[in-house]
Amino acid sequence: MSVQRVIVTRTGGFAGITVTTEVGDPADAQRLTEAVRGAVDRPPGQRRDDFVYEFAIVTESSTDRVRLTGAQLPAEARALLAERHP
Amino acid sequence: MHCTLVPPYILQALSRHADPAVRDAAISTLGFDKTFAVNRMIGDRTLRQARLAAPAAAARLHRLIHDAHGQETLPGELVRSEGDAASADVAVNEAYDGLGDTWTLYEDVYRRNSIDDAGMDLSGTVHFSQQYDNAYWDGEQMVFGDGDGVLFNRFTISVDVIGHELTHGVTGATADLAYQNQSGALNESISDVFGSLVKQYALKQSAAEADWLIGAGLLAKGVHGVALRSMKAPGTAYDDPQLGGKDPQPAHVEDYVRTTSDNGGVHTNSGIPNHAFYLAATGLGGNAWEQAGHVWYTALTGGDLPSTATFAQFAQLTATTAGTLYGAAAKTAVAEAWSGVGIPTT
Repeated sequence: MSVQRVIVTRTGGFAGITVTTEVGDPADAQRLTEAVRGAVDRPPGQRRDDFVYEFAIVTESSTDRVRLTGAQLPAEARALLAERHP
Repeated sequence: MHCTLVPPYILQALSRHADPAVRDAAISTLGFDKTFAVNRMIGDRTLRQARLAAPAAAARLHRLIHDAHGQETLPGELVRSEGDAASADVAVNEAYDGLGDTWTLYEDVYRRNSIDDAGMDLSGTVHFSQQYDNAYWDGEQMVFGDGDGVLFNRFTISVDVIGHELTHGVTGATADLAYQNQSGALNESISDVFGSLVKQYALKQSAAEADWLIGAGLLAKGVHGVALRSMKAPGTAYDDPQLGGKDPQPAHVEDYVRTTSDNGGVHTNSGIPNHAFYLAATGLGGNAWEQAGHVWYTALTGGDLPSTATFAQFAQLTATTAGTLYGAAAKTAVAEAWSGVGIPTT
């Protein structure tokens, strides 16, 4: 099922501020989805004040949700999100 | 992962041995500059209890400041060690001084010898990542971003941020409060409490004189706000659409935020116990690091606080502790503080 877009919500961090962004380009959304799904088994770490990321992965027929800590977030996802500043 | 055949708590005890040869060998084995990190104590109640029972070590302040140079590899390049001259880099010096201020509060007031109460090195990394709007404790060290310059300044700018992060280490080494829901909000609150006390002690401000702000100076120019959190008046620290609107912290348990975000709103609901501490400190009067600080510190480190503690359990423990340490009037003052945020004690 092809990914249409990914909505990213970042919570936590020292500031505790919620930031939301959307990756609307299907190619970027697909790359982000693969990076995120590949990271779910990484150890979440024991960081305090770490960010928490929630990814809503939207396809034609469903929306899946994946949650990662900042310690789990892969570099590729970080780079994609940095362009959008969450 | 650091592993030895001799259990770490025995090495810890040996590191305080009267015989210098034994002591030095133990310290060497522990590789004291990080290997006996607090993250080994997290989730290991036996180890924490062994630490509680160990005899006191000589006070030891040893700071290590690293520079990640915008990368994410930790700890990064060592740029200032204990006793070194000041750097040309303001973030390096703020981290060094802030760790010193934090260590001083814990040593002077609570007789705690660093994070683990055994002289653990205080390690911090500045210039982590690019435009990184955060600071965190990773179980071994503190990490500080430079901020994006639009919403946030560098995270070393406010000494209470540094005190907050280091206190996460103290909590991890003691009550090890689970980082979600109410126990997570208590974990956050305790870091705010002692972060604020670091600042108050450094400035020699009484409870009445203190600003009770967390992260003053952290918001960039143009952002409408004075700080990230206010212990005196939770919910009033900022109001700016760039930050998602108004400071969401509640001051009363009636306004507790039920959410799955941020580990159950740990940075939001911490406003409730934060305000209770403010009320207790101002109710008791004088300097907040004295009676109120001692009550909170004893509750945190005394071994009676479960890792899954609720607000009500912590409230009860602090009220009881106040009575034990300072008598009936202090117990009443602490109980009234908790009552002021909607949490009765018996």
